[in-house]
Amino acid sequence: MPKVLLKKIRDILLPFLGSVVTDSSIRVNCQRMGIIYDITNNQQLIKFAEKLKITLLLFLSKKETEEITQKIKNLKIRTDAS
Amino acid sequence: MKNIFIKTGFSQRKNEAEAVKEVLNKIWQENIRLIIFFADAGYNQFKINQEIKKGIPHEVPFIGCSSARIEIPFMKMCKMITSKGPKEGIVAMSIYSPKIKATVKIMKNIKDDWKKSSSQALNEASKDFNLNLQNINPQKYFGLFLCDAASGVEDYILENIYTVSNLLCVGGGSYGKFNIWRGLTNKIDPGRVHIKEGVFSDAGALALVECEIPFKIDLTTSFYPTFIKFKITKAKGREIYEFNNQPAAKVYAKALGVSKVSLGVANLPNSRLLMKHPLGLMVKKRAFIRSVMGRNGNSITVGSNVKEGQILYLMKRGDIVEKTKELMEELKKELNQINGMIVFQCGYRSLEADILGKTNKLFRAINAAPVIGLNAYGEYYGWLSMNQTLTLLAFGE
Repeated sequence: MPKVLLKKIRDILLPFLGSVVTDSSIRVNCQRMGIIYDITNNQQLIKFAEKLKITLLLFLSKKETEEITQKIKNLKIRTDAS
Repeated sequence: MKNIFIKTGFSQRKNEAEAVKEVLNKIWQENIRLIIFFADAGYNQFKINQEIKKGIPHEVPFIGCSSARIEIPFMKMCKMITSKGPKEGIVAMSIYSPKIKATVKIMKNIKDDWKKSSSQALNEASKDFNLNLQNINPQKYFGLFLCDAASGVEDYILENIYTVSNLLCVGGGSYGKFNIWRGLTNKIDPGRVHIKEGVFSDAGALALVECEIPFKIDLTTSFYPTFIKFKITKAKGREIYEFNNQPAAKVYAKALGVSKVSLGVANLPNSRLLMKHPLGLMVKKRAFIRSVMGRNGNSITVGSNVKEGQILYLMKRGDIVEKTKELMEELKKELNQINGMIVFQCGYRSLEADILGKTNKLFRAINAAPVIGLNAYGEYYGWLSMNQTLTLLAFGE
């Protein structure tokens, strides 16, 4: 998973969740919020965003969750083909 | 036209056969899709299971558990939530809707084999609905999870369910009887979970429910964070050895302004003091409460798993009734109408309401629809377990 992408995800989450750590998973106050599996294409990124959405709905409002999900989905992964 | 029909009932009869007969009569309706019940741990759970099976058609799925019965000097936590207020006995709910389907699976030997057992239960349940676990739509499916709390592995099971699927759960911990004699002799009476195959301890029961009616899983706690916070520097599971590199019991007692001895000991904790000062894992503004269950020498035991590096806040009691009312108002707004609720209320919350003389007010706040509730020993929300909280499942229209 590209480090740049991890950082971008972290930056999106930060204002909503406070201190966020992203390595093999997303953790807030050490509590795992989502699993980051290897994301190498945009389809996987969308799948990841959908799974994260389920988690975020437990902690944030629908509006905030939708905003985060959309922002993550909008991140584009540059592949060789693109 | 109404899409969901929910009936609730309870019995306070001491005899298991009579109690089950009474409660089944009250909740009976045609084409029941799921029965949920909670039975006082004072009952013979085997007899309860037998009588339930005798009293309903074979094809009706059911899930249930024993409800904690804790009686120690100056503390009694035995009541479940019924439509007529908190009562001892057995309480049940039947659900009929053409838009609801349920399948119930058991997880056995969870202390040693929680991963295999929970994955297997989930796989079997998903096969019944021909579902791909990773693609479960959490707005159409939910898991109702009841677990023997004495197993101490609920956190791991919940996290495993989330890891292998998209399923979010609601539920609570089942416990047996606890009194001063059991405390002194360290005799643990586990919780028992019920399904059609029988009644089991060291087990969890999962109802996978397909629900095309709007529903909501939610929670509330009356505690909010103080400015005092602790960083966990040494911990394992539910045992916190060190806060800020110092013995956890000493640091916690100091924050409360009491001696370490005042916290009580492992088997006989000073529950009245501890329940006033739980710890909170904060995720933004949301608090996930970790009750301090007791002191083990220099360490403290909390009611849900913690991790090294976590920051826990010392929590302060807020207004239990007002916070509950706020949740109900939000639910009504979101679901438009609440047709039924299954609630998992921590035994400590019930006790707190009793001590503050707010039991009736709290019940009136909860009683927004046909409701049943477990006197829970641990409450589950999503894939997290917590304490001193009310978690719930509400059905809309």
